[in-house]
Amino acid sequence: MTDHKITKKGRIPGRHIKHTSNIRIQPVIERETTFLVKSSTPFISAVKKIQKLLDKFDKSLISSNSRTRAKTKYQNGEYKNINYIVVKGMGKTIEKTLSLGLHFDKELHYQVDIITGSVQVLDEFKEQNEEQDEEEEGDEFNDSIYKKRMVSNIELRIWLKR
Amino acid sequence: MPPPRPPINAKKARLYNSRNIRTHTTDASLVDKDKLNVPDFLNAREFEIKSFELAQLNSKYASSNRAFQSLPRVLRRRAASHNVKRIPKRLRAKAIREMKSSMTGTPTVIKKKHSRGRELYRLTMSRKLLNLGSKLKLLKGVPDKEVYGKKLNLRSKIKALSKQIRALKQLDTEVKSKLNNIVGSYDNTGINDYASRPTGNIKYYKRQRQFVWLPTHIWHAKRFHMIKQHGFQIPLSPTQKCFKMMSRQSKNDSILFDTSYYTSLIIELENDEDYESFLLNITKFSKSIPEKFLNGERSYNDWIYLDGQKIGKVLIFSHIQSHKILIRCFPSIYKDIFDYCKNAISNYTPSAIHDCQYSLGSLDLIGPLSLLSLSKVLHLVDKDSSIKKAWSKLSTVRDSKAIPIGFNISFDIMDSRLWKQPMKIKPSSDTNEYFDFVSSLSTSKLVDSTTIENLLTPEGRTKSYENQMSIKEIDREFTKIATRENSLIDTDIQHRSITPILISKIGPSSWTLIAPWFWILPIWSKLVRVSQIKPGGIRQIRQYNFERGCANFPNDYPWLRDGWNYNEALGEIKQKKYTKLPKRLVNDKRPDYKDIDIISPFKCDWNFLRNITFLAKLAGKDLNQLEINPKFAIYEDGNPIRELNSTHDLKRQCHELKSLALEGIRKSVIPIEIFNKKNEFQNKLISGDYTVPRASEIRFSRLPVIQISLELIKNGKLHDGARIYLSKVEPDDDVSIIGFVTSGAYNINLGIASGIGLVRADILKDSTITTLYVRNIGQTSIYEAKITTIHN
Repeated sequence: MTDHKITKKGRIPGRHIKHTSNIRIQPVIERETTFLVKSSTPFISAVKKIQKLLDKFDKSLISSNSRTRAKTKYQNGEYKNINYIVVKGMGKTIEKTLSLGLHFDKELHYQVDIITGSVQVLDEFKEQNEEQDEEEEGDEFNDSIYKKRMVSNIELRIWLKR
Repeated sequence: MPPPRPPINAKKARLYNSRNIRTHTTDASLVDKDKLNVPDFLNAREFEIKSFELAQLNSKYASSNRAFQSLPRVLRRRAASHNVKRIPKRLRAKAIREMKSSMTGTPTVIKKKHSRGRELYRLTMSRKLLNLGSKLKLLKGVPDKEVYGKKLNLRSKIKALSKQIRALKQLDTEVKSKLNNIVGSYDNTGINDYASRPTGNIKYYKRQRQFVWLPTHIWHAKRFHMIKQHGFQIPLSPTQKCFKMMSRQSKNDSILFDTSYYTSLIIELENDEDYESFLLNITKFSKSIPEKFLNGERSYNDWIYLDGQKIGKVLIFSHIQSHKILIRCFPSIYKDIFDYCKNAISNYTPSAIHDCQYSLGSLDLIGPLSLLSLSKVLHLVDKDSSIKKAWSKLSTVRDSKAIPIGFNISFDIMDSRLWKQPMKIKPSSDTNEYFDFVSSLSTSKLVDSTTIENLLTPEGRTKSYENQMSIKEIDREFTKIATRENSLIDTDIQHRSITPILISKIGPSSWTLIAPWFWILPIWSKLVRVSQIKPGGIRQIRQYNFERGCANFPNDYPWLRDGWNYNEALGEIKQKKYTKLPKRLVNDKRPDYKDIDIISPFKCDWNFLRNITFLAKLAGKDLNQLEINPKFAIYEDGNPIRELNSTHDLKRQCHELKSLALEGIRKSVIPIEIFNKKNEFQNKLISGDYTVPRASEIRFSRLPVIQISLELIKNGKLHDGARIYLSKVEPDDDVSIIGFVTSGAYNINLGIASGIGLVRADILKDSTITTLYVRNIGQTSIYEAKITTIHN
């Protein structure tokens, strides 16, 4: 891992594979109330999805909906203890996540907490031998170079109107 | 005369009551105009308030459910309102009560007639046979071969068995035991030959003569649709509705499959040079075998080459320290591989080949929580080793994508049935520690040599069955300890039977567990009780592959024998169904297929694609330049083949070629093959240097194709067999087809229709093309699709 070649620009050669930092096994309720912003997530689709999550917990919407049973599920049991919905973004999506937070704060008048932090991610560099045909030899048996990296992240807590 | 009043029905009355709040209109509490006597007021309103509260309760229970209404969708059944058997057992009592009180009366209970006469006699006799079989098993004996034969009738079979039991009872205990356990587990390995089919229980052996039961067959037969294929009875799909659930399960939790029908063989080669040269022969490696693959740290999940031909994708595990190679493959290609390997190793001495199709079983798990769920039921014998530490690190995280495919770990486990409930595992959240572990994987060795030796030898597997306990025995042990205890770990039986297992990563988030055949059921019975797990059948494997844009064997591999047979059989079935329906029953919506004799609308017609491509080459013209409208056919002097001047000529010629192939002068070949850069003929063909000598030669040639995955750009539908085009064309333009979709449908992962298909290699030779057009059979709409090439 240590004696890898580094090019002039300081880049490790090879295919770069990024591994997630979300390795923790989440309980079902936590999974249902967390929204992760990707760099490919469009802003509006994130707004809609988060709004949908918030609506599930909104008591005032229960009576207007015909499928009440689906909604009452989110008012009872362990869901009762849920106070906010978590929206997370890291790296280049921080800006998008912040604008999401501001949108829910200023436009839709939710209480939004913003928490900053950093997470660890794993970079994998797979060496590819140019001489060998990639199909022929396959690179899965070559050792990859692993590097840990810290990335800034941001967490929004959008409080439910309960 | 007024109309008769409708009968008062309890439910209607209840509904009526729920909508009405009765009021009481006396108002004596106002003493003066401005003074309210509160106690009086409340007393006066008491009736009103009470009925208000009652009304609230009434309305809450008015829409209250019958038992079957409260069920989740997967458990709902047709006719559950009056047939008790359609309702889960836990709700039956309630359902019967409701049915009795309902208007129309009593629940349907089907009473079985008591058997009489000859039928009763047959039943009692077969019960006797069953009893004798289990008695023999308890004495650790195996029924004689003649009992399984056809010669004896039932009575003489019973006689023979009782005679054997009497003889066994008189003999010494040491001499008599053929089995080393009372549950009937034995190692059924064929050494240098095929193993005999396992007979199973004497009562049920007839049912498994042709198609062998998996170790978990009885569990599956109660809950799954089964199919008989490749010599096994294979679980197809759960009887419950589960399409969407399985999709979610594969994303968040895990799906479990009994894949013991995947057959395996073991090759023993003592000489290291022979060992490596054999591996070079059958794998993709041309120069040297990677060290990690040789010593078992990584397994090989890729094509197997027999005489340089790709036969199918297999798992090869090599352990050079014990001189053994394990090959696990789909059952349909097993015979080819076994015969080839047996022949190949006959040149090397000393060598041996073991047929382990009935002595090694396997379980596959898919999804991010597969290892976590596995670790809840696997209890390692060695508690302090580095392997145990590595296993606990692996299994307490959610995402195992950082672990390379082919990663192996092996260890000995105790009988999982010694624990009542699955263990509770504390999930880890320390990313730093986990990432360190992932980086150190390349240097650590997690394959235990003695475990592998035990797993891959008949003696080792037989040893693992020693004193294997029956469920009854385990229950008896549990009655001896306190009821609160979850496990029998502190008793002296904990080390009674120890199982060697091998766990290998076979896909981005799929794992396989390989264990001796008769240990699969005990592990399975505990695994299905883990809440994160849902069991699936081969249809779910196909669904999983489809949703991730991966090709599924055999249906997406029509250039291989099995894929070809699949496509042909499907076409035949569809055609029969189409032609069978009488005209008066034909629905308006059914597509009216044109040109059935030229291109088949029932399957992917690869013959047509091959013929039309080569004929166009023969004509020496670009397809776009050909005239569409026929004028008249032109024949050269004395040549039965017409000149190819229009697309009509091409189509007619295709038809003639088809009928020529049907005559079958020489056995025609599969008309396509997968594109290989190194094939000279294919390269010539693609660059355009190749000329077709004669039209009649076309049916012996093969068209190179490239596999792609497609994804529609806008909304639309995609079905199996859809045709692929390079540009937007007229619906009846068959000549410009460049490929077919082998499996296409709506993909709930992507939220848009997607599929897998094959396209002519000469079109896709330069990878500048990113979009193609698809059209479903018999439909006019044409859709644009994004494509990505799949390397094979």
